[in-house]
This record gives sequence, C-alpha cells and structure tokens, in this order.
Amino acid sequence: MVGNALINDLMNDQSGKEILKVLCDKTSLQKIYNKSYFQIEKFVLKNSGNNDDAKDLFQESMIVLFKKANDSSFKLTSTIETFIYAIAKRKWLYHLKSKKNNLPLLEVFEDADSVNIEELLINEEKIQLYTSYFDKLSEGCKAILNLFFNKYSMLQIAEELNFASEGYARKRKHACQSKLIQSIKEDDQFKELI
Amino acid sequence: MNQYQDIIDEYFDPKSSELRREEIRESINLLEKDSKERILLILGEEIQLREKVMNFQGQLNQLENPSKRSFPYLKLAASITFLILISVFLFRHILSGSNEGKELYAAYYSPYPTMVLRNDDNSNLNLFFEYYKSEQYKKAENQLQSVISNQPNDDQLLIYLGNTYLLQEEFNLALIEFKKVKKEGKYYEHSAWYKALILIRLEKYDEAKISLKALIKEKSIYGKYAKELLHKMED
Repeated sequence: MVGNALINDLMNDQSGKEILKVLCDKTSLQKIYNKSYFQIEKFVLKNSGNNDDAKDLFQESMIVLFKKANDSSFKLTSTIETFIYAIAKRKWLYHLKSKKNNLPLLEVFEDADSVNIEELLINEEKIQLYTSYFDKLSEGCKAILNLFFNKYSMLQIAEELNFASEGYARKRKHACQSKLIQSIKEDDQFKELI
Repeated sequence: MNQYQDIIDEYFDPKSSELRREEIRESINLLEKDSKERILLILGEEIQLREKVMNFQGQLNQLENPSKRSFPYLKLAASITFLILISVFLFRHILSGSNEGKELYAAYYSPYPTMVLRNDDNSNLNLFFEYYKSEQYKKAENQLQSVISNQPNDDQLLIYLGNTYLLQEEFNLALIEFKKVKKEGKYYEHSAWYKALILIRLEKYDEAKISLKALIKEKSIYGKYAKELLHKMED
C-alpha cells in the first residue's frame, strides 16, 4: 500500500518536498481525509459548528499545509494529521472569536506548536489581505504583476502584453506595484497584522 | 551599476539562481515587517502558488461527495474556486474528444460556485443560495430577481442569474444577463467565458471563436480552457 508507506514515513521531521509527495498521492490523501476529517468534524460539532463548517475547515487547513510544504525551509515536526487538526482547531477558535461567540470551547488548546501555528495563521491572514488587493487591481496591472511574479523578464512581459518597449513594461510594473503597496498599507487590518 | 531597480526585481528575475534568491529572501526578512519588499515577496510567492493550490483543491474536492454540497466558498476568490470546478469537471469528462457544440458545452460548463455566508447578513441572498444548491432553479431565479431589484449594479449577482438560466437550459436568457456585466468590472471575464460557452452551445462557432480569442488575448484566467476549446473547434 503506497499510501500507508508514505504516511508512515512522515513520523519524524519531514521536508516540504516529502510532504508534497504525500499530498500529491491520491491514496495517501484519502487516508489523511479519513483520519483527520472526522476528528475535525467531531470538534466543530462540539463547538457550535456544523458539518459544512467542518468541511470548510478541513479544506482550509489542508491548503495551509500544502502551501507551507511548497516552502523549501518548512519542516513538519509532527504527523500530518496532528498538524491539520491543530490548524483546524486554531482557525475555529479565531472564527468563534470573530463572531464574538461566548460559548466556551469544550476542548482545551494544548498544541505543542501552538505558537508556530498562530504565526502561520497570522501569515495566512496577511496573504489573504495582500491577494485581496491584488485581485482588485485593474486587469492590466494584474496581468503585468502576474507575469512578473511568475518570473517573466521585462522583455517577455513587454512582448506578451504588446508594450512598445521593455522600459515601458518596467514603468508600468513599478506604477502597479506602488498602487498595490499603497492600498495595502492604507488598510486598517494591515496595521493590526504587522 | 546594478541593473535592478530594487531587490525584488532581482528576486523575481528569471536569470537569478535559487541560491541568490535564498540570499535575497534572507535579507528581505531582516527588513521591517511593513516594508514594500516583504509585502511583495509574500504576495509574489502566493501568486506563483495559485495554480498549484487550485489543482490541489480540485483533488480535495474529489475526496468528498460533490452531490452532498456545493463546493465550499472560503476566503479564496470565486474565480479560483471556479477554475478548480472546471479542472475537476474536465478531469471527468473532457476526454470524450467530441467536437459537437452541445457536448463541448457540457464538457466545459460548470456552474458558478455558491458562497457560504457566515454572517447571515443577507437572508434573501442566502435563500437564493439554498435554492441554487438544492437545484431548485426556478425558485432560485425568482429569489435572485428580487435580490437584484435591490442591488441592480451587482455584477456578481448577474453571473448567478445567468447561471440559473443556464441550469434551466435557457441559453438566450442567460446570454442577456451576461451581456449586462460591466466590461471594466472584475466579473467581466466570468461573463465573457460563459458567453463564449453559450455561443458554442448555440453552434455559433465563428462568434464563439472571437470570444475565446479575446479571453486568450486578455490573459483571462480562462485562457487555458479557451485555447483548448479553440483547438478542439478547429480540429
């Protein structure tokens, strides 16, 4: 069973590359789902949530892990299931807090890596803020920055977007970046997250 | 003289080595947290990952039974989620190889995803989503019409209304709604994609090709699928 072998390999510190190998294997992914989802669902149902909330949380948590696994410096110090569950619990806590829900959590948070997870989730919030402003840019700016972030040279950007010159592409890119940064910095949430 | 305007330009330069990028990343992480460079580094890496995340979310969606519930709309942009839906759908159906308008449409059409409104701040809209998710499209259409009468300038609602018609196979009515979406708005590319699909479904291939080429030219998120469709139509 390839899936089992892959998951069992992840008992010690594992690199992002190794985690990605697991996440990209359908059998392994199904096993993670089978192990983690119902644990998350149980927790959410006990804490004022419903099945749809649990599904959202599972997906959001898996995406957090997937994104971290693409970071070459990331090391997972627990099993995937432990990590996913810890992320889901922390996210649910934030969600309840944001709704000013005074219902007590029935489960105490005692994750060993809770500080790291907190940092990670704050980073995710930053990413969401930044991407929300990126998505609000004009189509032209989005096209330029999208190519730039995907490592197109200025010459390639100019060719792709039919600009007159590389210099003009650079100028437009700079203007789009400045507009984006200004919008982000003016957001109140940005100040809170920094 | 350094050819780069700033360190971020060097980081995303295709000619920079991974080692150099690592050095730059370390130096950027020493800068103030609100520095332009830190923001652009975080954002740029996220943008690079978007396609991979979309594909991964497609895999996650396959773990669940899609008939139980529409795909959850989380904090990701609707456009991203929508592309995932397409990916999943294409994975299942695209390999048929048929060029008939009806079948091409069926292979590429996927309903615009629903949102989960956590704050219950729009009960009329929530009721529409309930009807839409439970496939009661006539009721969904009527409900949405009443929401739109209060929010006539909301392009996203027009996308939903168009889809509600599409799901009832009212292609011409859907086309009318998609044509109302403002060209300068962020929902325009969704409407353009649906318009192209409708034209294919109605076997107006020449018009469809023009629409698909425009999507490709405008670097739409649907560009990849527009290219595939064009290729199939020209076979």
